[in-house]
Amino acid sequence: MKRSRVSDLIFIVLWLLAALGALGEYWLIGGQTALAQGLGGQLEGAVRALDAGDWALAREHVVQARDQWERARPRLALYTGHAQLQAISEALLEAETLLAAQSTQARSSLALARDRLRELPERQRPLLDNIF
Amino acid sequence: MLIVFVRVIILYVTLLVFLRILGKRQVTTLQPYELVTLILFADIAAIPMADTGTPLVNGLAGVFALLVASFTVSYITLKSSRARAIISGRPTVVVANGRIVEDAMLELRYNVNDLLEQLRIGGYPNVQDVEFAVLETNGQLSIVPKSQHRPVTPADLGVATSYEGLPTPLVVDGEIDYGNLARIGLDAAWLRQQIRAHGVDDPRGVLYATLDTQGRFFCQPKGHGAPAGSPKGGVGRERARRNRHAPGAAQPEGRAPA
Repeated sequence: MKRSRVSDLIFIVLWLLAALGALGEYWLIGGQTALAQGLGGQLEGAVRALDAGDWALAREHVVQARDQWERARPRLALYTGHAQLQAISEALLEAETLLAAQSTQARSSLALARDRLRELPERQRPLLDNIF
Repeated sequence: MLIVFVRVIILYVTLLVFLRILGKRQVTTLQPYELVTLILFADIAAIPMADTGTPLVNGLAGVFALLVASFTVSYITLKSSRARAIISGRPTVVVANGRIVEDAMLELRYNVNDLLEQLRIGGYPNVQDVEFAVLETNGQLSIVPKSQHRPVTPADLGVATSYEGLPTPLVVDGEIDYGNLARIGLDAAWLRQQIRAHGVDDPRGVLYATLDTQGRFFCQPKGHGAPAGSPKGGVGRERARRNRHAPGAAQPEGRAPA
């Protein structure tokens, strides 16, 4: 290859990598969205169980959600702020503990965990809100 | 602590590779966009280095984005002179025919003291000796002196000179450069013969050997620095030090014993 073409090649490769990175970002956000929706569904199940007065089923839903979350967390930590992940872990643990104690505050704790999970992919999306 | 260490190493290597891709101009003459890149490189890399709560990928993505932006701008300036003028600006003549161009100075917000300082640094304390001074886009001042104040060259004297070219390094720090040898049509056997003629049996014992365009072979064996009595370092200084510390050695006059 001619030396004069090296700049052209680097220019093309860099933009190809940037495009691949952008596609990868969309793929990662898709994965986060799916995870957040799955966990959100579990937490909604817990809320419905609470409405029916079934504390054990509600706790079962949250335990499952927490297991799923802790399995996904190391992978998410590669590209997501660790503080954000920790906040979700704490919210889920708090909800589980309050449900085990059959505390009335469990409902607000579940709402907090759901909100933080919903925010997980939202903070990554290339939206004007996030850029500015 | 180990995490920070590893992160710093990763970011250091990444920055090194990226700066290498950006080219040599980055560390010598900086255009405005190159200066911006270097400043931001340091800042963006520093955040994930220190904050282990930030994923390293985020820092690398930032550095990569800078690389793409900087390379793209330099690529555009390479391809388009109009873009070059917009991004890097144009050189400005600040001294013409020995007189300061006041309008240009005002436009650049470049004061006379700074101009005179640069002229003095360039070796021209008198502005009248300068034919042209041009403030380049990288902030350097190029000075073209009047013909009467230029250093005399062989051409001025009508003296014929022979072609000098560049000497070809053949051995550097004990390693033969076979590529250079082949380029000038010689081989390792010839090189070994030349080295032996200089009293060295093995090329590994040679610090530096070259062949210039006049056919002169230069060979400096390892462990043979500057000649004795030279002002700095080398065998001479080492020998003098040893003599001074040798038992029974005479002390130089007017100096306390070591």
